[in-house]
Amino acid sequence: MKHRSKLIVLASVLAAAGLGVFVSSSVGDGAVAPASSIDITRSQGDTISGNDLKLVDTEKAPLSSGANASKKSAKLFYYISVETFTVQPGFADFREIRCPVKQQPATGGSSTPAPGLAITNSSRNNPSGATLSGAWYEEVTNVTAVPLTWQVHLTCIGK
Amino acid sequence: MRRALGAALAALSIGLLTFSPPAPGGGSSPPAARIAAGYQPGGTISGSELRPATRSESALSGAGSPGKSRLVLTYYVSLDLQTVAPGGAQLFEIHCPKEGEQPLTGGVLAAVPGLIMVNSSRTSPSADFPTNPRAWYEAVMNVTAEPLQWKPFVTCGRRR
Repeated sequence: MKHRSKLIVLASVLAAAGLGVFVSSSVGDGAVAPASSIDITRSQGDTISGNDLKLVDTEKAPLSSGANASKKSAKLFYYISVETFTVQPGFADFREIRCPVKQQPATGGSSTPAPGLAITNSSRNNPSGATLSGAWYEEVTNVTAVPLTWQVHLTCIGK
Repeated sequence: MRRALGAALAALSIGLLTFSPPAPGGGSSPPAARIAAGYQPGGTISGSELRPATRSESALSGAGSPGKSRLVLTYYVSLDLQTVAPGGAQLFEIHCPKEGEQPLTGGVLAAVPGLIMVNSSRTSPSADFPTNPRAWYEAVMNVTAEPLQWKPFVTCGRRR
């Protein structure tokens, strides 16, 4: 693990040195224009149920501790949406994400291979309707002039 | 609040010269003319580069003494300030420092506005770097025309 971390840091340094100045060296390179406008209307968020989520890193997710830890201790579960969503320039994508039964959301997030999707809502409450039990409300807005993709991320706590 | 944010983003995007968000110390910055199409590889922030956030930073009393709670939360912030160029994006892999800790969520500590969160996940968004078992992946993008600084923030949890 340490070795890999060093490699990443080394790669960063090399990338920076290669450009002379540490400014916008980037994975994927290039630059895009900002969106010409932003749509600030929010549509009804589609629900992403437990069936539409996949568990991340199952074996590593439970919290570890000493031998005296209670078997009733809480565990963390990380989920990511099976589907990858595309957001058009200037538009937002609002999603209601539900933890599986007997789990509660701790936080939401986004996994985006390219920057440009601003997190514009991340809350336990529904900002535009009824709040469902076990749900998290995540929204991103595309502030660039090109379509971008993302996967919803959700951290749940259960036993 | 939502409308204000939407309006701010709209103003940034269409490049209105009249847009002048309030900032500590006064002054304003125009929006970035171009936006990075990829992440600047910030690298890894290991446990030795993190420190527990102070009470004023975490604004939560009793966080370190949760009583009968079975889940102990600790809030960490990076030691060093990171700088993002105008229009640039920066991605960090942040490791929880202590044995047995797992990340619950990441965050951004920024002195002035202009950096927007564009990735916050337990999985690596970059195909170049595999997901580390104890890491959180946090990325920001600078939508202003000025270099801005931030500190990655991570909340870690462990069983008692």
